[in-house]
Amino acid sequence: MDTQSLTLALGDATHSGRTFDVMPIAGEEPVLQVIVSGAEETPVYITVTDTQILCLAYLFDEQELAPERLNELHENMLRISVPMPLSSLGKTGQHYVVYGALSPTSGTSEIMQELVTLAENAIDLLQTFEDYLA
Amino acid sequence: MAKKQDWSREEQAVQAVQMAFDLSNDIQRAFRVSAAMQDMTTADMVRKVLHLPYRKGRARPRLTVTLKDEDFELLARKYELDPQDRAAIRQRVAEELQGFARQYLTASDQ
Repeated sequence: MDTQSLTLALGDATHSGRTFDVMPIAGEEPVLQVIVSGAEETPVYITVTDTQILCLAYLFDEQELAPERLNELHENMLRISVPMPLSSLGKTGQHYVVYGALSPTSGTSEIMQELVTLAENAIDLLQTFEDYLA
Repeated sequence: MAKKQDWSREEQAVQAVQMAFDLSNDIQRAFRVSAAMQDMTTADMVRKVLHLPYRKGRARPRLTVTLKDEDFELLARKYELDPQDRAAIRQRVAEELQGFARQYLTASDQ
């Protein structure tokens, strides 16, 4: 599965009543921004490498957080990351993210399942961690 | 840490997503700001840039806020009013919003 075939497949697809708005973003590495219907506030970014399909949604930046509660937040993030379906929490640069990785041989149906779950998890996480924002 | 596998390709992919995120944020902000300055919706601004038909001038320019029960409670405490006296609370909300708008317009004139 590459980003081009993914763009075509997602554009016309429906999964659990959700549709996907796909926007390719130009750059050295092809990246897709996917907006899942019903979860418009948390776009999911997808990139495909030889080893994985990485799906990632941005939660908040480090500077948005209350510094004195950072340790407590990290502890809670690690704990919530295990039971959370199909997604994990992480950090890239200053950004806290929720992500899911799939095998590059995954089919469209698995990818759509991941996208819907990830976008919903992102919304839940934003609500869960609201109190830690400065 | 022990010697780890070569994940440079994956690191690169994460960087690419980061750049895409920053870029799409900048693009979205540009559309929101230009739409606001031309008194248009963001969706119409996108249509204008693409030379697609769009609605000229907002059909219903309005400023609304939906207040929930708990919002009325919070506002009543702030204004020291009875939470049941919703008309008085709405009146104070309207005054506060007008105050903000006046201050904002004066500040941007300077």
